[in-house]
Amino acid sequence: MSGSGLIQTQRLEVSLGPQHPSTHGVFRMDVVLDGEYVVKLKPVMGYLHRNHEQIAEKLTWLGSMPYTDRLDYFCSMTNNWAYALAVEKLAGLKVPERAEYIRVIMAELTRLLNHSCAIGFLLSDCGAWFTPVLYALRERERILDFFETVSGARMMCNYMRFGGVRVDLDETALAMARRLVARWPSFLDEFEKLITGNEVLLARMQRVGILPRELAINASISGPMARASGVAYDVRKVDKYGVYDRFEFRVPVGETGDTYDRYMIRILEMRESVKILQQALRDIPGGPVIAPEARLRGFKVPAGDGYARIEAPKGELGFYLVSEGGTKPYRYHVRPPSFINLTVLEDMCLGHKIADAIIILGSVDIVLGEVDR
Amino acid sequence: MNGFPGKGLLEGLAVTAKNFIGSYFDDNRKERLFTYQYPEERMPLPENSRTFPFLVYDGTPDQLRCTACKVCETECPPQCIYIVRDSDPNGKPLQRPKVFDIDISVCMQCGICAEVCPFDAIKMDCDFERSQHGRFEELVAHLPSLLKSNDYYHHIKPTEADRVDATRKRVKKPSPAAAAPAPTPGPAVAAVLSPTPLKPMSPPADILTEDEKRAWLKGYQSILGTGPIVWPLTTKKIATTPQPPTPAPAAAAVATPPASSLAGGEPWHDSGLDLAKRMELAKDRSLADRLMAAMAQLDCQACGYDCRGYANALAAGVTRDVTLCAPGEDETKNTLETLLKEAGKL
Amino acid sequence: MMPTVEQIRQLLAGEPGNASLRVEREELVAVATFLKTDPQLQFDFCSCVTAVDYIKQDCIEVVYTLYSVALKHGPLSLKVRAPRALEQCRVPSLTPLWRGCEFQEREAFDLFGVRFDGHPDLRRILMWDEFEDHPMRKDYVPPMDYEWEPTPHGETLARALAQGGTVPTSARESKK
Repeated sequence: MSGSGLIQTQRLEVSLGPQHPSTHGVFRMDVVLDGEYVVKLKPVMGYLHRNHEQIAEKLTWLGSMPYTDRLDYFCSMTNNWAYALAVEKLAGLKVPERAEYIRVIMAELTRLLNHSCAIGFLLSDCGAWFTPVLYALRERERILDFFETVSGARMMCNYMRFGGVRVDLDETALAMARRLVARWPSFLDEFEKLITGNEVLLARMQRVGILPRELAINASISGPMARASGVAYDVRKVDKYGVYDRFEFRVPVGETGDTYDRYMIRILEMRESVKILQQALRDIPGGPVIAPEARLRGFKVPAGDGYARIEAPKGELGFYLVSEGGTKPYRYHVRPPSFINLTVLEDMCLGHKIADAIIILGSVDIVLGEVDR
Repeated sequence: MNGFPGKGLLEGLAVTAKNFIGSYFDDNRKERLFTYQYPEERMPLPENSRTFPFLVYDGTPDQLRCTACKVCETECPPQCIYIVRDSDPNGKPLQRPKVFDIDISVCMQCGICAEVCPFDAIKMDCDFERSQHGRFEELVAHLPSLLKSNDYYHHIKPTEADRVDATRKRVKKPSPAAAAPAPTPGPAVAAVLSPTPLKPMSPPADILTEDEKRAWLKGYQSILGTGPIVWPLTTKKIATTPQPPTPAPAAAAVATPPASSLAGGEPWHDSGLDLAKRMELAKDRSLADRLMAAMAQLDCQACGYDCRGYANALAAGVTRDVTLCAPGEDETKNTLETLLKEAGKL
Repeated sequence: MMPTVEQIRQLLAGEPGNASLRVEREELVAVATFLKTDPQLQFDFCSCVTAVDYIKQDCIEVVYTLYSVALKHGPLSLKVRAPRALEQCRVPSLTPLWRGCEFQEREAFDLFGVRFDGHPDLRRILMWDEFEDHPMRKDYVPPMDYEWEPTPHGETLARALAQGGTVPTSARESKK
């Protein structure tokens, strides 16, 4: 790497970030470079630390719900669901069936919008500049418009409640959802035609940032990143939370664990999400959307502790809650997928060029709101 | 890789070309897409769109629904609401706010205040053009600028407002002490306190030249923040599906009510009945039932319980405070006092 | 005392989703190694590592939530307690066993002050390096660098008045 020894080289320490158009938020990497090759990489985070966990100790159980929107700010619906699931587990609340279907619809739409965004930004890091991003964002806008129609806000939806969801979906909203799901396969086909076979993309992404399977399991990697490395583990299939066991969908698993695999896994997952959405929108039953014993004010959760997790678009999002029997949590901890997926960033980047380090970070798909909370 | 070198690139370019031409048309390739010339034209927002809260009044601004029960202040996650209850010249508290501040630089637009309000007094607006030229005092919305009429609420959220009107049977009567003369409000505030016709957002059709449009816009911007603004709605009215009934709150943590009252049901538990009718319906029942009939039947939990819970607490002697029923006002307080004195509990 | 495979099985079956095992600090590494390597258990995925400050019981509890990717069972919470006093608040690190504990143990150290012996790189992760004190402890007192807010509430209003800050007209009026 440093030549045949005839040229005197020096290691250069570069701080990539915290402001950098390609680092997906305020995230810093201290890289030691030998020429262009990465010799050491230390991620530095905490620039967006907002002390979400301590704020939650001062608020009621419901009061933290809008704050969970802001964890992984791209995917507010799944954050809400993970928190609601944890509280429902502690409180023993049963969610009505229609609400479960609505939750699945919202979660899968969130997966679509997250993956399209993630791929768009990854491709922009690769140098495809902004065309794929804007195509992806154009479709994402439809989903955001749907979220605004249903919950009132595009991104900070604050939609799930303990025991169900906040408002029901009426026929207009369902028709809107069906319309936008119907467009999605053609968008994916077009997207793949645009970029997946592109020689530049293949040269840049294949064999870059390989993550071995054993390391992925040992480092608690979850989500598309783990599945790209060959770990056939999807929380939707293992835990079967919600009504996911009623839907037929496959879980794509990669072989090599390089950046190209992570990109392709996301595209394939979007196709599977479309399948789930079609089934859910077809089968959604009528009924109430909130459990009858759910309360907005004065909601007390029995004493105890518990951990609940869901398959968020970025990985396994879990909430560990400790309750003393009151209206406020005693301990509220978020297990963020992006934070833990960054554990192996150094392992993946060693030996690659600095430009590849950017792409590898893009393929990890982090959101700083979640990393730092 | 299959195909000739460069095949992937050419396919990609073909897709880009197709999208370039296609971006001029809408999804169905039928209509030409134009840019909305903001700020003269605004895109319609969906009905459920929410930004900052506002207070609803029925009719005139002094008939505001808010009773200063402070439930929204307690439940607000970032604690951006600040309420001070009004009192009459003798110092007796009134069921209206003297100070109602929302710090919109802190407000996270979650809508929890609107969800928990027992009186449908605070609702979510859809106006997002709230920029001011200062960071602190200017971004605090005080009571005059928060008050908007029920007509405005109907305009921005027709389905929701219809549903609220249907469930609201009890309209708060202005209490006698509210007739105390308030200080003369300044012109900007007076524009809000007197019901003004709602202002349109786009310039009238007879203004045609760019200069005239700009002049209209300048005049319009100067009154932003001082009066109710009408946001163009989506033209399609959302089909009303019958909403599931709001769940009744679970029985509060007080002893279960005596069997006799449950056996006969609770016919007085209807906020549309007045006090005399309610007492008539409860006249042969137990003390707890009669106490409950004296209350406002809203289950608003402003007292800290629901109506049944408060009645049980009074009957059991857990609390002796008869002033807690905020919507019930004086008539409830006097009736509760009389009943408890008769029963020897006070 | 080391748990047996049968005990763990019973825990997992008895309270699905709530199985927890409290161990002492001295046997933590042994138990964790057993849980990871035993072929019938194979807890190879350490999902969540967090600390809880039980100020009334005067201890900080570190909770490891383990799952098994190979055998698809879990979760099992491994709980270990350490005294609250900073010098004695030490727990053996499980990072050599599960690499995923690396960042989460750093976070527990940063926010709670729990030292993990054997951690390859124990330093602050979310707070800046020169920060002192550990913010998530229950007895943490935030510093007095209060920024003026126009609608102070409760303790914020009290702090503003104590520091001689200005309060808006509406807040002043209510005090009359």
